[in-house]
Amino acid sequence: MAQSLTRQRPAPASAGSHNQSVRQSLTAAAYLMPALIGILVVNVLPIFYNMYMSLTNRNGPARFAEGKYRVVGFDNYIRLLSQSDFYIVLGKTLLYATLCVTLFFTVGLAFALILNHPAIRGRAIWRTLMILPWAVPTWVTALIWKFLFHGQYGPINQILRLTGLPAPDWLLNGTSAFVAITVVNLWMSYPFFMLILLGGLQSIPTDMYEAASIDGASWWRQLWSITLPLLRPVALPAVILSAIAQFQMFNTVWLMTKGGPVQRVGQPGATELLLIWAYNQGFQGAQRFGLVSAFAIVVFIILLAITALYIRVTNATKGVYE
Amino acid sequence: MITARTSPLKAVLLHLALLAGTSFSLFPIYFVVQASLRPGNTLYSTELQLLPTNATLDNFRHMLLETPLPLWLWNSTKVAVATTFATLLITVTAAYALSRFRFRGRGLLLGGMLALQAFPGFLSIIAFYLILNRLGLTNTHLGLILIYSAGAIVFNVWNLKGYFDTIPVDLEEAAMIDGCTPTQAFVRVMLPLARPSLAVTALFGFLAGWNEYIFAQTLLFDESMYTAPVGIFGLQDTYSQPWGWFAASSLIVSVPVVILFLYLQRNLVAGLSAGGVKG
Amino acid sequence: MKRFTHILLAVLVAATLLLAACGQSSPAAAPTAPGAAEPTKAAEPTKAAPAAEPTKAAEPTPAPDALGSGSSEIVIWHGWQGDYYEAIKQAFADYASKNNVKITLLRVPDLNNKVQVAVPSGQGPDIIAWVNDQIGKNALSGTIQPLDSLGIDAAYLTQNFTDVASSAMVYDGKAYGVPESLEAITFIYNKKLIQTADLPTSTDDLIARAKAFNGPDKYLFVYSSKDAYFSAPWWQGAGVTLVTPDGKTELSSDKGLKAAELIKSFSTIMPKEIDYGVADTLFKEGKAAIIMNGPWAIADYQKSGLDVGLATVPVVSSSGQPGQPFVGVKLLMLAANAKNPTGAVELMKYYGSAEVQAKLAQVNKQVPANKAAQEQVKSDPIIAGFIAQAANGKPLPNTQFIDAMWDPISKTLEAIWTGASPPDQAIKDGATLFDEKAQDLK
Repeated sequence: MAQSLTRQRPAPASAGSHNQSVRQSLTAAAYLMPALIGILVVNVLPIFYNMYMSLTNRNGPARFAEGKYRVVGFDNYIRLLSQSDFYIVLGKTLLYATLCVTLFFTVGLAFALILNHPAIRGRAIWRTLMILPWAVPTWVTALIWKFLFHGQYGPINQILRLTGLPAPDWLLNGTSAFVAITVVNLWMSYPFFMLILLGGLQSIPTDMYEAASIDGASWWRQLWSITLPLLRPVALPAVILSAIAQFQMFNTVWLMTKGGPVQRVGQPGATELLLIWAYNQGFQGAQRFGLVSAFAIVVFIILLAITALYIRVTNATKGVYE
Repeated sequence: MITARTSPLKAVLLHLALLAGTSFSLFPIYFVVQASLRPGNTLYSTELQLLPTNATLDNFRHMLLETPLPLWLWNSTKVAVATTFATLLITVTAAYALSRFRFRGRGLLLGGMLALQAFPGFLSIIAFYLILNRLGLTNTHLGLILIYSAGAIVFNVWNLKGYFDTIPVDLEEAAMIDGCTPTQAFVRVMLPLARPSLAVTALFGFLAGWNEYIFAQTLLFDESMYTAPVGIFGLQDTYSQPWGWFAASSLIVSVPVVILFLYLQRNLVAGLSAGGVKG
Repeated sequence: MKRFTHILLAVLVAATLLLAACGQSSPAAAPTAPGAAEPTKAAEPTKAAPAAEPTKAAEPTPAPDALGSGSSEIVIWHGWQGDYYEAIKQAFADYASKNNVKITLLRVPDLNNKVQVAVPSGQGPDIIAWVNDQIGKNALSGTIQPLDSLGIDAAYLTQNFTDVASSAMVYDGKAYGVPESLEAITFIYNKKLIQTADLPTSTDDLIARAKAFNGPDKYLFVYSSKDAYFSAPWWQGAGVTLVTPDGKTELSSDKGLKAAELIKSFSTIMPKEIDYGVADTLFKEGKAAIIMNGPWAIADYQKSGLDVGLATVPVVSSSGQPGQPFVGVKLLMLAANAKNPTGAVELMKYYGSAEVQAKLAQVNKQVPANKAAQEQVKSDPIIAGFIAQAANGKPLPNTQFIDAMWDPISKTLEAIWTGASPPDQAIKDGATLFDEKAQDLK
């Protein structure tokens, strides 16, 4: 990126003389420099390092020290991609990320619409209370949720039993454990979506709805043809970044379930998402840096492809609407 | 979606829905509060306790007076404040360039930044360690600040650029006709108008430095250098977690964030809208 | 807005597709200009940061603990806490003032990973305080060094320390540490809930008594049942060697099946969803009469007002042998790049002395590794209880293959406990997973 900038020619669109465009480009370069250097050091260098590591046999303590490992080619990639479990885990993670982001968006939008309704009193208080989950460190809340979901002593089940409802062993059963980690994630993330969408809603001019009402458009019709299309530019970056983050979910789920419950020893557990599986493969037992690096590169490529595909699809549907 | 009059029933239902959402948000936090007030260090109790028995502030007293928590909070403050300023400086300038200048590679840059987020940095902590080591920045706050502020670049640049795009160029052009350089126009015209999104960027920068613990735990060795989350997490031993201390200290850690939330309330919503409609 | 979205999307599509294509065609093709990586330039953006950093205010309490003011410094990384740490600090402070050295104590959480990354990159301490199961891995990866040429060898160890402790220091024929204390889990009972005479003598007896004793929210016996370390007494009591020095496990065997079935039967007398926290709470709240736990928990139980006694883990009925917990040996090891190896070894010898270890034992209720120290403190009933248990135990293996064991056994335990797999299937799968993990530890 740095090179493309320094090599750039003056932008043809800008008005004025040649000199002015050059100056504009130089100014732009100067403005971008801190961000570029930061990105280079923190984001780009580790990727190169990982690419190199992924081609070595740095797996296990005997091959850990500098000079003890060597480049072996694509062994780590073959080892990773030839495991059928990898594809199961990948599928599960895709399902989880899609489910989570859909829920974040839907619940976030629902509360944004409610908060934006003129009949609501004390808007600021509600809003503040609802974003409080954001303020508590995530590892504390993950451990707290683990306790809340405890089958016998967890408050959720103690309340369910008081009301006579069935109280499942949430974290011991595959499906309900998956539900549990989704609920926790929703709890942590919907406030952010709510805020973003609320901001988007507030910038939609009310006369657009008035005009639609005069034309006799129903509430649903207005939601689909005015609200959602106009929220798209606000929501799209948030959706993409959030989907990437969910795909890379580790911490919360690890602290709650460690990827379990175990379905069968040696096979991925019910909540063993991609990065948890990677951690179990790479760091539980021998420290397999080569394998984990290959893993990181593969995840990177998959995510890039999915993101690109997603953008193409959303772009296409946009064309249909307009 | 604007209806002339809302029926009382509907208004009640809407408020009930908000109440449900708020309860969902507050339910776990309530148990953090409860654990912080309970004597001893247990989280579990075999009976449902909606109110803590023998409530005490012992855990708070212990954390504040008998552990280095004040020092860790001070470290966190340094890291978070510096990250906030570094993030603002880096992202505001970059977003301005991306919003106002047309140059080759601009699109590549915007997309490339998003693409880099797809790399699971968590799996390559050792790479971060080696890079910081090469720069002589392991076990320093500076190293953490570098990682946090660079990590916060992508979302904030996108968000800021979106906001800048909604501010009409005419205003700056007018300033430039009055003799301002582009940079002066940026500082005098643009920044005051972009205040809400600057507030959001600042908040995100602060949160990045304040709450993170995985990188901090890997890169800091020295207990006197710890940020609060690392220090608190380190209070557990192999098997047991000191819940009373955990809970009390996480509440202490949350206080500045809540204050920031309250202070930035209005800006938070406006600053995140990223120019939804205008433009 | 239209323009904005249009540009945004076009740009995203073009850029990400391009990048994705690069990434797929060859992993060497990077999304940025190669050669741009110049670490020297990278220091630049951070210059902005310190300017914004308020560094003037005084720091509250200074840590790490730097003891003494001598010209030579010895840095120790450790995980000690509480009163135990205070006692250790006192012992080191004495040494520092007598010998004119400076001793810096750094409590490092996540010690395991820290050492792995710090030492190879030229950082880290002189001495690492740890448990003996870490020796093999670190010797192999070159993060610690043997002590034989520095005056600590097998003969020195056996002369001063108990046999279990000395043998736990030796890996591949070389001595890698100075032992501090022995740690094993044992039966801890609440004297208010159970009489000494009613303590179970065998696992069959334990289950029968539990069935009679248990009631709603009342349990005879609890422990952290899904943790490999806590399950060791049952496997080893049944005669299973969990990990051999050449990287095998006997998990999947007739003896292993007996142990697995025993663990399965424990699941009928304890809460279904149990971990360390739940077991601990039940015991503290007086809802469980016996817990299997280690010396670290004693002080906490006494603080909660419980009158506790110790008993060795009972006989495993299938074999007739007593349950054998792991005996972990805490120790000091010498980092590979220690700046002051001779000074560090002198300090380690001092730490191994009877005088220091007896003092630590009294504070932490632990079993000293030093023979003379053990004589001095064995009259303490708690320490005596753990000495008796350690005599029944099996030293925690110091082979690197132990790392192949923890995760597979935990998962096997969970599968047995929840009924996800029948015991015979679970141990077979567990052994397969062990072999897969062991592969890279060779």
